Amino acid sequence: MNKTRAIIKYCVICVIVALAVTLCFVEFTFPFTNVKYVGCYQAIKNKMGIDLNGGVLAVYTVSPSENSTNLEDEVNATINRIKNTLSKQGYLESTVTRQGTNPNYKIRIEVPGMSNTEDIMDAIGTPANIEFLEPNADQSSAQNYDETKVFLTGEGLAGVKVVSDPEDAAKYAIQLSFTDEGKTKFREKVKTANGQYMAIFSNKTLISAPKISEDNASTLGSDGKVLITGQYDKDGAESFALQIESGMYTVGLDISQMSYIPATLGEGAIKAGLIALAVGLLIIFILMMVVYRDFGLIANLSLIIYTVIFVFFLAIIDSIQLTLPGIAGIILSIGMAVDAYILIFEQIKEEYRSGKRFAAATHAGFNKSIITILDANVTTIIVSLILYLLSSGSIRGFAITLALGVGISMFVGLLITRALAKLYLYINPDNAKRANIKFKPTDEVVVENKSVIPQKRKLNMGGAK
Amino acid sequence: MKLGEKLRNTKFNFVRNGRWFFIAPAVILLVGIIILAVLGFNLGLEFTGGTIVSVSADGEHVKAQITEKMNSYDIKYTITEEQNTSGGTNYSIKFNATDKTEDIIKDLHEYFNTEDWNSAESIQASTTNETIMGVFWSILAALAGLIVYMLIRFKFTAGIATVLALAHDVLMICALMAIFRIEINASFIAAILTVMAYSINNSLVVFDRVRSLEKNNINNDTLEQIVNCSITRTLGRSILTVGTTLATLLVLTVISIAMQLSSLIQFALPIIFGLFAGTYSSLFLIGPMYKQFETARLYTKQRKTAKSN
Repeated sequence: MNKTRAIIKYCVICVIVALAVTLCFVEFTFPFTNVKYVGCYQAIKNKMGIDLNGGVLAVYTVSPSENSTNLEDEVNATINRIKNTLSKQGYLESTVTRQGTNPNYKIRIEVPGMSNTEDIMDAIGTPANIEFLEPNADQSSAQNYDETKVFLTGEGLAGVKVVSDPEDAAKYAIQLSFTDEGKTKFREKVKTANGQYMAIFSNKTLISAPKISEDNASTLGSDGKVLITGQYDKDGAESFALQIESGMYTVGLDISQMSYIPATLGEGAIKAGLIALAVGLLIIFILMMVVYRDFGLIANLSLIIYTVIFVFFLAIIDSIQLTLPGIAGIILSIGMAVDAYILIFEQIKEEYRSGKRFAAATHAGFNKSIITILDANVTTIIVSLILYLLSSGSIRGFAITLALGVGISMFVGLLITRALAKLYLYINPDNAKRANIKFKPTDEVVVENKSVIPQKRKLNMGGAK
Repeated sequence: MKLGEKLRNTKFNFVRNGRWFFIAPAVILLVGIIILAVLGFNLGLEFTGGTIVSVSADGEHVKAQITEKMNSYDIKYTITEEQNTSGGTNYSIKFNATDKTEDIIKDLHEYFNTEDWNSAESIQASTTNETIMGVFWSILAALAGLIVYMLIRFKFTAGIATVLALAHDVLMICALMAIFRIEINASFIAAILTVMAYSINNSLVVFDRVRSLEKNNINNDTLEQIVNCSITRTLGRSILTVGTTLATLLVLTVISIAMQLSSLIQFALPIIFGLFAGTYSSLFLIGPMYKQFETARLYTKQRKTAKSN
């Protein structure tokens, strides 16, 4: 490869990088299709946590039900149900996490973008006690049912869904599905109760008493699902479904903390963060160019590539939410990425001063600094992985952004920057001054008039113990 | 770069002057402890528990009205006011009333019309204590992981010096937070973690150099000379790395102060404190510490061999 081809390659790389950067900020719909492209910038903005975007935070204390066997599993099941309920209602970015240890569990719910503390009650429902009572032939009035004759509770339910009414397309119906145990119990009761009314109680109040139609027993046989029709409109069906769904929480939930974080902080904070990041990057760019000249340019190009890859992963990984600690993780990992370049270039300087030619010094500099970079980054990754495994909430966000950022910076520093530097050597194979490296023959540190530093470590192959 | 050359050829003896470097942190720590004993930390709501209700209004008598209203509840409370960007004033009412909280919030909600109503934040201290303990244990576990890695890759003594430097950095942040009366809130934990990562990184780079110099020690240099050389040679790198991160954080702080984003200031300041503390410990403290530990280790080793002979 000659100089011209290397320069052309550099130009191509710059164009591709510029294109990638632009793609981060734009948003469009592909022509002739419905496929929408959302740039990383917007995608991450949509993923802001409640400390940035505002929203509602609620912590519930868990109390085990009377016949609880494995509380941990029950809490996890409840968490999954709350998650489902929230995402069904469009709160896709909400996080539901378990806190505390057995048996003092708490469930922490964060819903970014929600504007009122009361909304969370509407969204997940008030934890209720759902009971199915022995069918009755007479009529659908609460007094006619024997409250002690409960044959199925919320635990027998596997899911509840709003579907459209098969008999009237404009109306809606509620579809119940059961666990295996619930299925058997339900089928047993319903088989002999054709035409009777089955009462559903929530917290000891009658919420519905649908008539058991002839084919209920048989439908349950085929797919284990039951349809409750009743000329519901969409809202009616949804609130009914929610009432039943909140009866499926297998543990009792008592509110212990509820707060609303206003969104105004989010807009300001994200703006401040972005400006700081932009100015900070600019300062880094200028500093690197002043200190390392051409190598500084390589570092800056690598840093842009790094940022694009990092931002891409932040946008596509679902479990990452942008929070204040997350931003700390981002700043820290950018710092560590720059640190890797500085370590490499300092090593190159040293190699050059120990007598190598520029190209050889560059190669040796990359090779030797690998160990330092690996040590520094692997420790950080170990620490952040342990933190990730053991913590919850925003600390977890910090740990995952940090681990991701450091991992990517290692990949970019050790592979991409190296490749760019090698390519650069085709353009400038011998002029170290362009990388701001000057030869200084008296490169030693003198401690009390004694010269101590091994001048040519290369010659030391046999000498080491 | 001229400054860089000067730094590289510095004849400063980091190890010999070791004891003097422990004075400044000791003084800061002492002042911090005294202030902590007298005033304690300036703890945020997450740590103290209680409720914060914020209202914004621009009338003259608002404060008097709020005070009057709050007095009627017969509870302890504090009111802080802050100018907001739209020209009005934000009032934060902080109180701690365990069983009456819900009623008071409801009552205040009715009292201020909804437009002025900013937010009501209610946090119970017990919730936070559990979270804090969880974080504390996970940090300890992470440190244990770090020590194991250091044991595999470096000498035991280097590992101890790294962890002590880390402890120094964290203590310094806590002392400085207490001295400057900066509110400690949930993001403080993230700040501490950030500083920890930086601290480890800084120490590792120095010890990496020490390790390679020790391995290639053909001139029979003393430990002191090796440590001094390692610190001097990584000086340029330390200053550049800290400088670049500091630049970003300072910009963040300045913007936050201009935009009155107190939560961001409370987040950036401890990291800035920690960066200074971390740089200080990796330049001035780990060298002398490592030398002391290594000398002690070699001494015991010698005595053991002498005994067995």
